[in-house]
Amino acid sequence: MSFLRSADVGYRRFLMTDRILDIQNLKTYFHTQEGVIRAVDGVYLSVRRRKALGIVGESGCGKSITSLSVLQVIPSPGRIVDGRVLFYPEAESDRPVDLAQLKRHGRELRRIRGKDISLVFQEPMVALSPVYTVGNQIIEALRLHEPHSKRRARELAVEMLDKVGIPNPDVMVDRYTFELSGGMRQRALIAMALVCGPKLLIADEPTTAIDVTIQAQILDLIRSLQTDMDMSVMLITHDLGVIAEMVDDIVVMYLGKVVESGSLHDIFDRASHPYTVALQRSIPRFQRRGQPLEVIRGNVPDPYTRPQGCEFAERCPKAMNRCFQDKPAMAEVGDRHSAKCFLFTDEVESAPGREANVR
Amino acid sequence: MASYIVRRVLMMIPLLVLVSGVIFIVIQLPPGDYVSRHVARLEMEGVVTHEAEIEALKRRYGLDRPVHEQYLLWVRAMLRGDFGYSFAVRRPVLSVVAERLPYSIIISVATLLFSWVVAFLVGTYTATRQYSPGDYIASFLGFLGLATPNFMLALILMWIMYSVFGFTVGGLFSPEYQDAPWTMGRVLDLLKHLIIPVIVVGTAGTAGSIRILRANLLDELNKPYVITAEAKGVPPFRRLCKYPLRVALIPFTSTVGWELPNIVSGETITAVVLSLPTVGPMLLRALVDQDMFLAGSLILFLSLLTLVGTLVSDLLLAWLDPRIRYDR
Ligand SMILES: Nc1ncnc2c1ncn2[C@@H]1O[C@H](COP(=O)(O)OP(=O)(O)OP(=O)(O)O)[C@@H](O)[C@H]1O
Ligand SMILES: [Mg+2]
Repeated sequence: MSFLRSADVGYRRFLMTDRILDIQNLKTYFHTQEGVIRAVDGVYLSVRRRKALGIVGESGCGKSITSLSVLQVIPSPGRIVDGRVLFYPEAESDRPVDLAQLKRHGRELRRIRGKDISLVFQEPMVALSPVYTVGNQIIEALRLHEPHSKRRARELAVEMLDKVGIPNPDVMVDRYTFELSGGMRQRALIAMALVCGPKLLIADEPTTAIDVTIQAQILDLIRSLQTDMDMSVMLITHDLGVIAEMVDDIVVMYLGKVVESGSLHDIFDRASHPYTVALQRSIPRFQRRGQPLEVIRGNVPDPYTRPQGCEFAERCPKAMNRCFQDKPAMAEVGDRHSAKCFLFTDEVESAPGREANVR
Repeated sequence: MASYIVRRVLMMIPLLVLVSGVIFIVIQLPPGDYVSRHVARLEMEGVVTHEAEIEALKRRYGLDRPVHEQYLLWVRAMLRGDFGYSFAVRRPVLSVVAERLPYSIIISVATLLFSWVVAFLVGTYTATRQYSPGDYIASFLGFLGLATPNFMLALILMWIMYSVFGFTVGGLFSPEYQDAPWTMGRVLDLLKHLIIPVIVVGTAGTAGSIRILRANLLDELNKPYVITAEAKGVPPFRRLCKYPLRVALIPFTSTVGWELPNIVSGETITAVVLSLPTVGPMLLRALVDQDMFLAGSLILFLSLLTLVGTLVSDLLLAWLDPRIRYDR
């Protein structure tokens, strides 16, 4: 019996490789006076250990809020209302920590923030405090989690600044953010996120605010640090070009839901969901030569109401009658490749209870 | 930082020159010179004056010289501690002012501290608990405080203190301490008498400061850098103090400069109602009497208070906000 069980675990691991983060049916809502904004509305995704997952989607589809929900650092009045954020610090065979169940201001979650899971925020120009030096903020991050002396912490901070490619790190450590360029701030932010050697790095559009040459440097930097430090990465961007160079897996989000997920090649070469296809056609880099650039028609519906049927139906070139009535279930379209569309399934999305989440 | 302080202090010199110039003009404004006015007044009272005496007075104040020399003489005299003569009180200005200015400064500073502490605590509380019952209650009281005229508040508090505690408010000392030497008992008596003036004078300013701090803090609380701090594991209270609160205090601090003269002028009516020995009522009387040396000196001291206030607030600001001290 025990033999069977261990064989079973081994088999499962072989099947789905080791995951470090597994988000199930995550719902993060903003309860405002005007109504409820369902910023994240039942997201499923997982990050494989030492791999990079990319999250893509139009502006406002809930990428940032998904990433902020992992560490429960959601701007008010946002709140996680349902779902699980399972974190496997060492191996998937361990018991996971459900981050969504921890208290937002509690000690347990604080121990994970910045230590096991780090966040590089979307806007480098404002993500560091203007009234403390770069060093002060990095040293704070370090000493919150590791008992270094001030001097040692400073040395480590300088080392980290050097590692992310900031010139004269021993001078820059005493600089304020307003004395740094956008690229340097982004590097400083990354240095701060990496200083405790996190197992998972969540980078939210780490390159939008900076110019193209530096973009490439920063991406290279994240990639090389990923291998050096044995890190898993969750990378958020609406730039499919960035994704192509950085990630192993992709999830495509639309209106707070994942509409397609798969490996880089699945999504790029065998995009299944009409939204993914449209998204690719709207980006110059992925255009075959001579083909005109397309704009995804229609607009994102207003945030307070959700259509009865498929969220994308209104804008979908392949919409069928039933798309306006029912919501499709996530359907397998290949090995580890699935899409949420009636083109591939007849099943209707079930409101998942707790049972359905347990695998 | 050191170079900033030096630059900032040096900047006060031209300001002082400017202010003293304006005040000199104010002193000169009434028609005729003040010696003639003084003589006229004496004569109206039936006092016999001698030509030689008048000439001596005029020479003493340099009234026979050109205006710019008069100004320099006036400044030089002040630097030596001679602020002129109050013709209304018939004493040197300095001794008149010295009796009252310290109390004005004590009340102003105490009011400022009271206003800050209360505004800081209430502002922080209401911003972090936005839309809670406490927030609504504080806001209601705040608006009430803004809207109630000072003298009315003074009268109400006086009545309450008298009818509930049997404590007569008025003046800064109880009769037994009025002319007593400085002892612990006298200090305590002073503090006891300070409570009401401080509340009365400070309420409106405090209510305003609460609104300012609350609004600033609400702006800061959801800023990305605060979320960054939370995401790296900074505990809630420390995060609040170190990140959003510090930035929210910046505009709050810059109000000190003009808060001080506001307090002094706001204090005048209260001082009349509560019969406080401060400079407010005295300035009013000096202006009515055209006692220009006294009025000028009082305005000068108040301006100096303002300049020092702005200096303090600027130094605090520079300490709070590196963007200011590195701005060259
Ligand atoms: N502080 C907030 N209050 C209310 N609603 C919010 C707040 N922040 C985000 N939202 C809502 O959540 C939704 C998802 O926002 P999110 O920032 O996750 O989008 P995103 O995919 O990251 O977009 P972008 O590509 O522009 O960064 C948005 O539609 C927005 O309306
Ligand atoms: Mg975003």
